[in-house]
Amino acid sequence: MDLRHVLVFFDWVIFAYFLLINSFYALLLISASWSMRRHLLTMAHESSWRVLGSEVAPVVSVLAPAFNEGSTIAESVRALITLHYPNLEVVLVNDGSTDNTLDVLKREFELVAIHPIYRHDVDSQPVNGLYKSRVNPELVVVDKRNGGKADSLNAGLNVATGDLICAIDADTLIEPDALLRMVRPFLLRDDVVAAGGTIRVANACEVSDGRVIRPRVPKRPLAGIQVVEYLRAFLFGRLGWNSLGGNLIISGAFGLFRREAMIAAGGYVHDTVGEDMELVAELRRRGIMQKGPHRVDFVPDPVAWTEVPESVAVLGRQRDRWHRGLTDVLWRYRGLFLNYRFGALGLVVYPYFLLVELLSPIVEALGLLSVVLSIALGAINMTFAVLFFLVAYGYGLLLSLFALLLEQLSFRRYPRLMDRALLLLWALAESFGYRQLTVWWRLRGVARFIGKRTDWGEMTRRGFSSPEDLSQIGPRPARSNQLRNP
Amino acid sequence: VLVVEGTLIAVAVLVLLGHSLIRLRHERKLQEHLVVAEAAAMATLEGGRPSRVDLNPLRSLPVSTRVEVFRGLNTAMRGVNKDSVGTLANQLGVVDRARQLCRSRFWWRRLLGARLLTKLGVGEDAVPALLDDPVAEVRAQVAEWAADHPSPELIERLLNLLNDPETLPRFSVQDSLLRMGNAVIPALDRYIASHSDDDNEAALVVAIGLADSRFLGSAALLCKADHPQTRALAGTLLGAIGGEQAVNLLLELLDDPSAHVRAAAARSLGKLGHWPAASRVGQLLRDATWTVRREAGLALRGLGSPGLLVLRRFLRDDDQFAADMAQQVLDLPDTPSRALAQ
Repeated sequence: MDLRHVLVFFDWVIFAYFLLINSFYALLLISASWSMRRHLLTMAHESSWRVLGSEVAPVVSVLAPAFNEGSTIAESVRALITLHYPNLEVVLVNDGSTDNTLDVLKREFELVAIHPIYRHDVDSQPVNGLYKSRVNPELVVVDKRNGGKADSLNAGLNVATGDLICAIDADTLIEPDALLRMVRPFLLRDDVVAAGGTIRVANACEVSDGRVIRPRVPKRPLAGIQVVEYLRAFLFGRLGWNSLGGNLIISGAFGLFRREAMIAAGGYVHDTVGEDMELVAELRRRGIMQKGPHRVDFVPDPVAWTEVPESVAVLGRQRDRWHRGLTDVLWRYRGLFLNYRFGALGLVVYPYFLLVELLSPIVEALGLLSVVLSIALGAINMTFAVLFFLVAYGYGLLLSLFALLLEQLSFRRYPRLMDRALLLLWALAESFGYRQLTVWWRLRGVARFIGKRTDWGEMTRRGFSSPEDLSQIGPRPARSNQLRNP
Repeated sequence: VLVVEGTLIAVAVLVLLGHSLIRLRHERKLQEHLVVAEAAAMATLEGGRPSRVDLNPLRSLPVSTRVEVFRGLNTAMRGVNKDSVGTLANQLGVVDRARQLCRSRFWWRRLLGARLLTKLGVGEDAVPALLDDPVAEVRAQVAEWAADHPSPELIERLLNLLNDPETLPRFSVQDSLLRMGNAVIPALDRYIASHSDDDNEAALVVAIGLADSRFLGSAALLCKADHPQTRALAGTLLGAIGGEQAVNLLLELLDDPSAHVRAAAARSLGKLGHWPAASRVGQLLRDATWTVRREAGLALRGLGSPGLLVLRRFLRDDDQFAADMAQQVLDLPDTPSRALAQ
């Protein structure tokens, strides 16, 4: 068999893979539309204030790790303690900040040091001090040696007393009624072990007192395209899984978990860059094995806003890390693959994440190479190749447009025509350069996983804008590990 | 394939833009109707009757839009004001429409009907029938509606839903029973007395919230239940009720084999401020379980000076865990509410 035949055969394999994953995307899209319809019908005219006034609402502990956030921490904590929820506890974990984060907290919330003993349920770096607020009894501050986000969440988990644990990034902007929305799956079903919500892009939005007051679509291409990407990932990607076997990822920016299950799972692991996904995988695996709660639900309501990278280098490092995390978790849980004992998790969810999420950049890159070679050697027809690419990228665009449509028919968080036009523009622009770059970054992530790289890479943020200082945005440093996987 | 795909993309773009424009126009119009409806509602609330001229613009709207207008009205009102809005909705045919929705064969319409009638505070003839609805959300909504209509018959039916197989109706029923208050107590007490341990957890949560001495007999019986969770809830209920008999039972529960129960008993004694128990509660600072030590420490703090004395004594205890817990509890700051209470 000569090279041409090999290439033709390989092109057919790529074509079959293309058909397979796009059929699955279509299935996800149908499932997401169905779930969204049901969700909207259920939520129509519902008064979430009912839960707010209820004595029987479960206690929620919000865990917020912070590292060198002195300039914004007071505002962030105030936004957390004023969340609309009746039984709330806020556990702020100062992860060995070297700036004045702890001093600001002490001053603003009149913290009083208490004897630092706590239940040692999961491993974390040593705790230097525990503080309770004199003015906000629901606030607990844990001051600990630096150990990263996962370690901070474990320390917070040891101190938290709530039935449900809400893990967030300290600088995530949370919707005031986010907990009322997120607690719903736990009130609906006994077998829910974790729930995630839609994270939206905060860049260009007007922010005041730690809340997004006017959502806007960024005019800068890199951030704008990520708005479309996030909408697609959450509204059709994650939502679609609700009826197809449940999710395997909950964003680290905002997730709600059953505390007992988290402790039984050993909390967050430290030796991975995909600790959010690892926890969800472990909760599901353990739940199924022990016939306990194991369902992971996704709530399509926009519950939190996060800042996305606006520079190519930072974005590249973020995507590389996400893909390393994905590869690592799939490798750790390889025993789930096609394992009928785990039902849909083993037979549908895991294979999807392996074959589509993990391998798609590899197949896409190999496909591109092979097609170029095939054309050069005359192995395939040029017209067919061009048409194939048009169909492939057109399908991607169609999926983005459906995600925009879902947003518009449901939550309409971007009411201005200008913003919707921008969303359309960024959906069209995504295929030209951005998509190819993400393929490269993900490939780099796989390579670095094989090379056993475990660093997070440095991240920088621009910061949020308030109505007063929209024209005075300056760069501000951020901890290295806060930009989360959608 | 490319032609189909291109057509779909074009259609999606058109729908996106078209829907935006239509929606903007619809919202603008709805805002105008809402202003008229609010004016009419205000006239009604102020004791007068909205004039025919006021209501005509609303009458001319399709029923679905009228329903939407009423969604926008402030539904946090209670009592006479709520009745007035209900009257207005009745005049405009919204209540009839909601009743029709309650009879629909589609669950989402029944849910919508029940929600509208809950907001308007009417619907005695249509909503109770949905308590046996096959859809959990609908049953939960009916339970919410029932909170404002506490009739003996409805209370009995709600109590039967305390062990609903679905979580949401159970939550809604518990919440509604709590909101109904005193009217629920005799029936709830009978329910607790007539059900087995395992079936009583949801009912006990309601009883704890209602905190009435009529539950004492049931709580005393359930202190000896097989299920630790039931005994713990019974202990919490005793702490909500108070009195000599309750205290004696709680002192017995301090020696319960289950940590949950010991913690609940300590918490209850602290809540009751029963200072003669300080020494007994103090012994629990040496308990093997963190939760029990923690609850015992907080209970001692709740007992005032005698409890604080015991805590200080434990600072020098041989058991390091007890000494640590005593130290932490003594370190806790006085919150403004606590300082005011003192």
